[in-house]
Order: sequence, then structure tokens, then C-alpha cells
Amino acid sequence: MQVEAPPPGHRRSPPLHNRWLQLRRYKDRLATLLIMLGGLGVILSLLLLLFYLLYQVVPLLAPARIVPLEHSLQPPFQGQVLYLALDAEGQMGVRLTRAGELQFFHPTTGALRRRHPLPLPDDGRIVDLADAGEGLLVLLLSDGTVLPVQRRYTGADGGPQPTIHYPLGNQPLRLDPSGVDRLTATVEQQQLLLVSFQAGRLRQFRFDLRRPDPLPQQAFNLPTPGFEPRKLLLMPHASRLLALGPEGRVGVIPLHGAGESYEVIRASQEEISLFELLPGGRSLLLGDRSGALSQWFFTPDRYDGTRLREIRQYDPLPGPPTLLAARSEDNSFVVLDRAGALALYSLNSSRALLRSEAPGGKVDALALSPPSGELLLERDRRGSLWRLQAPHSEITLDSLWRRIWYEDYDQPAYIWQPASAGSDTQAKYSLAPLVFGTLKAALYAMLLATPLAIGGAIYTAYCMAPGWRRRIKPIIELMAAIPSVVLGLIAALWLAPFLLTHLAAILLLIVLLPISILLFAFGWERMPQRLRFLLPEGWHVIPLLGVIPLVTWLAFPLAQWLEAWLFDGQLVLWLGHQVGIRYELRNALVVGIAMGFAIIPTLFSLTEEAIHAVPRHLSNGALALGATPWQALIWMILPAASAGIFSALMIGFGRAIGETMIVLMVTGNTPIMEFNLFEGMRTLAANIAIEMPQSTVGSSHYRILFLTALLLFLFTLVINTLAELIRQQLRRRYRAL
Amino acid sequence: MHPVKHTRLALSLGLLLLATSASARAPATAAGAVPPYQRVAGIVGSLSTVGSATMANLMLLWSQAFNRFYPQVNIQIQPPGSASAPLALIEGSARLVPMGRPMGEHERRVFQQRHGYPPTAIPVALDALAIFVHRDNPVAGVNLEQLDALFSATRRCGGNTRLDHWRQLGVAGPLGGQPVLLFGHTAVSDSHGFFRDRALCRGDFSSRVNELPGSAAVVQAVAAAIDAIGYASISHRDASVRVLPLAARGREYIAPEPEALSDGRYPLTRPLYLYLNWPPGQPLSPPLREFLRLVLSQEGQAVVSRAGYIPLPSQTIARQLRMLSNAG
Repeated sequence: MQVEAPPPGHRRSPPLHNRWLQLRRYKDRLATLLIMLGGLGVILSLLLLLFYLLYQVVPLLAPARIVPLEHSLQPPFQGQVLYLALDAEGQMGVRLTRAGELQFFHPTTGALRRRHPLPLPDDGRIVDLADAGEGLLVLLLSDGTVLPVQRRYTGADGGPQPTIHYPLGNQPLRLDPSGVDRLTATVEQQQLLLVSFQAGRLRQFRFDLRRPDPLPQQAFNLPTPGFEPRKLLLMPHASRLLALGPEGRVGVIPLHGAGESYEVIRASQEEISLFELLPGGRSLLLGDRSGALSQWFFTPDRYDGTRLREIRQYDPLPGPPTLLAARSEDNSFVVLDRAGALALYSLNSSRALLRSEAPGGKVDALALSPPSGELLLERDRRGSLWRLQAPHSEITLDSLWRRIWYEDYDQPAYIWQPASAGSDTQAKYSLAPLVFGTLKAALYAMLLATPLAIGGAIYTAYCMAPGWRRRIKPIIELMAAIPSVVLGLIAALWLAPFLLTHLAAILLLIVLLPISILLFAFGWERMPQRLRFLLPEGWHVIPLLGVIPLVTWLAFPLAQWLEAWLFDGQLVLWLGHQVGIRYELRNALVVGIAMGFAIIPTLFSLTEEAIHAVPRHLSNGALALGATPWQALIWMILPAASAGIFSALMIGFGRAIGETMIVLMVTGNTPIMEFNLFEGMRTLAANIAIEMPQSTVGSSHYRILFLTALLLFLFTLVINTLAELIRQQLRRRYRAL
Repeated sequence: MHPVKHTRLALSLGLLLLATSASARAPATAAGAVPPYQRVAGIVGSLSTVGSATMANLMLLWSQAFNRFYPQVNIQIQPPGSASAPLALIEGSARLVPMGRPMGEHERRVFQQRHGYPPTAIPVALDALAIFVHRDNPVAGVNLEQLDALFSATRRCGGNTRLDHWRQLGVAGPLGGQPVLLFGHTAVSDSHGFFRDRALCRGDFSSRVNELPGSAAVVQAVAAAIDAIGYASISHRDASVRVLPLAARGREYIAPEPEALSDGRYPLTRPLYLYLNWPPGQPLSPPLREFLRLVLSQEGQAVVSRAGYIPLPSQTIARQLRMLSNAG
């Protein structure tokens, strides 16, 4: 701070003078303090920002846990268990015994709420059952008859009240005179579809639940594989039946269309011990005697059909897996082996999220309440209650960064597909397409902006008359004042349709303009000196300003003629038709131009300063020693300014990566991984802007968006810091010159 | 404005609609049976709603109509999108929210947990997602399976091969060799979810679908490119684009005309809802009750057709009105 002399006109008395000095000192201290506080505040807020992002992201990394809630429910259960479930959002436990008693109990205390004996024939027992969904169980009785039982809950004060309902009457149905051996069932659109196996053949029955009638509406035989099925499963939409056979065989029986034949697959070398569909019914989970666990689903094959295929193997269990409980909310599932060892998996990741040796040995029954994640195990008629804590189990490093083979996809892929609002479809979060899109947008913008900005900066700083430079530089810097949303608007509404119709002309211009400028320069050199000296030094850009519009004006008819001659009239159509290149209306070329326009001022201004900062005596010395201006530029100026130019490029790149509005408006936000200039992309920044309003606070989607924000922040932080370090290096180097 | 005069206006508007529609039978019975709105004295207070962007225009028109009867009632409308509506209802920041889709299982469950009773849904109008192409595109129509094979990555509705060229939709000539450009909505919008549920059989959208923020943007984009196809609300149809007739399966194409919508033959029809936080056994607040009665009146339904949507069938309206009067 400069020391101010007291104004000469005022003669101050000594005490007044002292007070003035003191005041000055206070002002000085205050300013120092304020500046320091400001600086610290900036650093602190940056740290806070980073901390907040981390605070939102870290829960994604939390490991899965299983917490005991109640080691042993009192009183012990009665009767041999066949089926166990947690209903009504985990508020009601349901237990079915082989003797035919349905027991409703409080899941946390084990207190019996209600017992309901089912109308079984005398000394009948339940030998098997099929869970048809919507609370409907189809029971197979020991005499070969079948009884569908449905439980419903009426919500009222004091918790849910169960009611028992017999949709096809409370008399067991005799579907086949010889008695049913195996069965499976599913409810879809008020229809009960039932497939049974008896006397060596499979039969399909369809009942209408709206008009309860013990006689099936439809019954016919199905092609039967050459083995006795141990278990049957129905795929959703009544599309296929899966039958488990001996020695690891799985039969696939189509239900649609007559005359189709079944197919048998050798799914495992060992006997299969676990044969279940996962929630949604699209994936089959197989566990065999060696403890191996694998996911299977149907994928298209070469002949326009589909084939059951092994998709992934999960970490094996120590013993043969026998029990499964799954949550559709986050596609996680729990598997227990015969000895009671437990493992938690996420559908799309091979690694087990959690393994634990459930103490006490073999588990008889298992139930999971999907909303709360409570897990009920029954062992020797004793229930124990656990809670699974795996709030973000579907997010793993693999699912974020590697190709994943999702259900219904033809092959493994990088997919970004957040769940749509109000829909229960499984979300897929691969960061790869977003990072790719971000880099693609930034790269194309740089490709356009770099030659223009750097060339312009070199010319302005090195060749232009100083009077011009003083005017041109602020004008270009003024371009930075255009809000990016305005650029985006113009690009989306005017530039994109313009490019679609004049693509050939624009591409032609990109080639023609540099060539014509070089030709003009060559011609200018060849002009007689008399003409050249008409313009003062640094003004020869004026005739060039005439050449550029002329070439542009000529390019359009020329392009039209070229299109008619070479490309069947329209380049865009020809590209799609002949070359197979898709042309999207909102593509990387438009983004490159619009965003290039946005970063040119930054890039130009920094580069220009770097070149202008190179001491003039360096180039003057070179020129005096006989170098041409070009040689002086290439060998003296540019190397000296290179670090500054590099840092300008980095800062421009950082700006392009963080730019939101232009990409949001100009691209179609398609999360694809194609480098094609004529297709769009979805960038990290635009993605946050689009999806933040729809994500539920605290959900995996929400945290992933924070993760992408953190990624973006680190990206630009690293790039800008690097650029700044290089700039400081440069300043230090040239202080000596 | 005097209520009687207003009724006359609505009536003449209804007549106009009657005259312009090709088959006037269905809307005539629908409009004829819906009673006009009767003004009730002493309604004061305020209403605030948060919800569907699709229904923003509709809500605005209704609130204008409502203010004509009750100028002293203050109505606030925030339309950030249907995704925010359940949240506002659950948190209690609004007691009435417009939604372009029914509430999801999870949203209903959270509401029930917070309040102890389920939210009340009142259908107020019919909307349809129309499939738009460029006005020079000669394609005859599409069916749902083709839509799935175009827009999805999963083809859950049964299509075996992916469709990506116009030739596969039966278009000859130079356009046939062109790849199909796909336009859709961002995932915040209810149209996105509805299309996903109905046309993609709950599968995944292909990564190639350009996501645009709203029906107007989709129509604009489709109008600009001959090889484009997009879905958007029927209320945004204009001369720059062609609305494709749609078949549930095969080639029995059905155009989204009012009759096809109200009898449910057009496959992508959806009701638009107003959701209420209405504790059972308690009367609704008077401004809220009157607003609903207005919406379900002749005037309210005239507003629906003015906004480009389809009025509800009269039986549905009668049922809703009965429910309102029984409880209130």
C-alpha cells in the first residue's frame, strides 16, 4: 500500500496529523484482513463444496450388512413349515404348515395373531405348493388334488387384518383322474394359469378369477420332455414353461402356438439344487450341488429365435444352494445353502456383497420383506429376524464402469437408463457413456475452436498493427459476454436445421476456406510491390476480408452441384443410405460449433496474452540476424509462449467440459458411445441438469448424480490447477528475459 | 361475468366442437349429459398446486374459469413435472396436484405411511400420446410392437428384430434407406413413463432416443426432419407434422380421434388426474371442493377440449361427482 503524503493545502496540527496516521493504519489493517478473509473464504467454500459432494457420495460405498433384530422369536412355531412369508410391508408374518394350517403372526414378537385351518380332506397333507403371486398359493394335496388359497389384507387401525379367500371354491380340485405330481401357477390379468405334471405328461389349465368356476376355461396338453420334472416354473406373460430335470438338465417348453417342440439344455454338470425365477420373472437362478450359482435368461439367437443362456456366474457358496429370497426394489437377492450359510448378491454383479455363516445350521424356511429388508429365518421351529442393510447394493464399481449384460439385452453394454418417474423398472447406471459424451463434446468444440482462436491470437499479437490490436482484442473478448443459453437457443433453433439442409456446403467450407486463404497469401506475395505497398504494414488483412465472404458465397452453389453429381442430390440422405452413417438433427457438429464459439474468447484472450508477453527483443533479434518473420514466429515466439498456449488450451477444455446449457439444448441427450460427428451425446453436466429434479432424495440415483457432479468438479479442478501451475512456471521463466 | 352468460358460451363452444368433429355422436352424448356449474356463495381462500407440466395449460385455464366465478380465491400453479407432484402431496405443500399418470406403487405407499390413508385420484380429462412424423412422410401407420422395436433396447413386446430403417416400416423410395431418427421426452415427464409402460412393455429406451424437454419440443424437432418419428401429447398436434394412426397389433390402424380415445380403442390413451390429500370422513375445504366440481362440470370439460385434450365420458363424470357429493 502506498504511503500518502498529507495534502499540501492543509496544515494539520500535530495531534490531528497523528490521528490521520492512525486512521490510515487502521484502514490498511482492515483491508489486509478483508482480503485475507476473502481468500480464505474462497478456499473454505471450495473445501465445503468438495466435502458436501463426498458426504452425498460416500454412502454408495457403504458395505452391505446383516443386523440381527431378534435372535429367537418366542413362542416357537408349531407344525412342520412348508411356506413362510412376510406380508403387508413386513407387518405380518405368514406360515403354512404341511398339515394345512395357515398361521399369521407378529414378525417381531412371534406372537400368533390368527390360525386358520384350511379345508383339507381327512388326513390330507400338503405335499407341494406354487406361489402364483398376488397372495395366491396353489396347494398340491397328498391325494393329488389342488386347492388355490388367496390371502388378502384390509388395512385398518391396529394393523392389517388378514382374510382368506378361496378363488375357485373351498373344495380341492381334481384336475386329473390320476392325481397331480408337480405343478406351477401364475396369476396374470385376473387369470390363473396352471401347469401340472401327472402320468408322464404336462397339462395346462386356465381359470378365470373374475367368474370363479371350478372348471377350467381351457385345458390342453403340452409337449413333455423325456424326464419327470422335479420342479416347474412359468415365465411371465405365459410365454414359456421351464422344467427341472435330472443331472443338471432344464427343459424349455413354449406355451404359445401349437406344434412347437420343447428343448432341453444341459445347464450344469451336477444335480441342480436351486431352481427359481428372480423378481420380474425374466431371469432364472440356478444353484447346483457344487455350490455354483448362475443367472440365465433368454437372448436372441442367430435364427430369429431365442435361447436360454448362462449370463453370469456368481461367487459360489460353500454348499448346495437351496433357498432364495429376492427384492425387486434393487434387484438384490439372498441365497442360503444347505448348511445355513448365507450370501447376498446384486443381480448384475458376480461378486457376493455379503457372506455370513448363519449360526445354527440348516434353515427350513426363509422370508424377506422387500420394502423394509427384514429377513425371517426358521430353523427347528424357531424364528429369527434379521435386517439386511444394503441401501445401494445395485451400485458397484463394475456396474458404474464396465459392460453389464442386463436382462432383455442382446449383449453386454454400457447403459445409462435411470428409472422413469412412477415406474418400477430397474435403473441402469453406467458412467461410461456420460464421460464419453462429455469428452466427445469437449473434443469437437476444441477441434473447432483451437485453430481459429490460436491462429487469430498469433495474428493479433504478432502481425497486426497495434492500433488494430487494441480494437480487435476487446471485441473478441466481448463474445464471452454472450450467455451460453442464448448460444444454445440459436444453435438448436437455427443452426441445427440449417446444417441439415446445408451440410455439404459447411463441410466444403471447412476444406475450402483454409485453402483459399493460403492461395490468396501466395498470390499476394506474387503481386507487384507497387500494389502491395499501397497498404500499410499490418493492414493486408483487409483484402482477405473480401476473399472469405466470396468463397463462402461460392461454396453454396458449388456444394449443391457436388451433391447432385456425387451424392444423389442430398448428402445427408446419401450418408444414411450408402455409407450407413446416421445423421441426427442434434449432433456433435452443432455442439462443436456452438460450444467452440463459447470457448473461443477464453482461448483467444489467454493465447494472445501469452504471445504478446514474449519480449519483443527476442523476435527482433532473430529478425536482425536474418530470420524471416515466419521463422521468428515458429522458432522463437511460439516455443517461448508454448506453456501459456498450453494452459489456455487446458482452461478452454475445462470450460467445454463443464458447459451445460449448450449441450443440454443442442444435443438430443442420447447416452450413446459413438464417435460419429453426426450423432449426439449426453454429457455429465447436462445429465445432472436433466435428472436432478426427478431423483428422490437419498436414493441411489440421487447419490450417483452427486458422484457425477464430484467427477465433473474433479475434472475441471485438475485441469484448471494444471493450467495455472504451467502459467506460473512460464511467468517465472520469462522474468529473467 | 354472469354465470348464465358463461354457460351459454360453453354451450356454443360445445356445439362448435360437435359441428367440427367427424362423427359427432360420442362427444354429443358426453357433453350433453354433463351438468353446468352452479355457483355457490361464500367461497374464499386459496389453492396451490404443484405438478404435471403436461397439464400446466389445463390448470391455468381451469383456474381462470374458476376465478370468473370466484374472483377472490387465489390460485397458484407450479408445473415442474409429475415427478414432483407426489412429493408435494406427501410433504403437504399442496393438497391438490395434477398428474399425467397414476401414482406409482412406491409413491402411494409413502403417502399412506405418512398420512395413514391413501391419496384420492380423480380423473379429469383424457389425453393420448400421438406418434408424430414429418408431414411428407408416407408411412401408413405403426403398431405397438413396431414402436417397441423402434424405441426400445429390450423389445419386450415380442419383436424379434430391431427396426432402424424406414424401409422396415414399409416405406419405399429414398426415405426407405434412411435410419429412423427417434425423439422422446426426458425421464422427468409422465409421457416418458407412460410410453415406457405401454409401448415398450416396461422395457428400456434405446440410447438413441433423443430426449427433449416436452411435447412442443418433440413436435418441433419432428417437423424439422423428414426421417424423424416422435411421441408427444395429442394436444400439441399442428400442421407441420402428421399424426400416425396406431394399431395395438397388426394393421388395424386407429387414428387418435376423440371417439377412439373415449371408447378406449386407441392404445395410448391415458387419463389425466387430479390427486387429493383427502382424509376419509372429513369434508374438503370449500374452494377445493368447488374447484373439483367446476372441473367436472360442462364448463370445466369445455376447457379440456379447448386445451386440445378429450373430455371424459359423461358416466365417468357422473361417478366422480357422486363420490364428491357423498363424501363432502
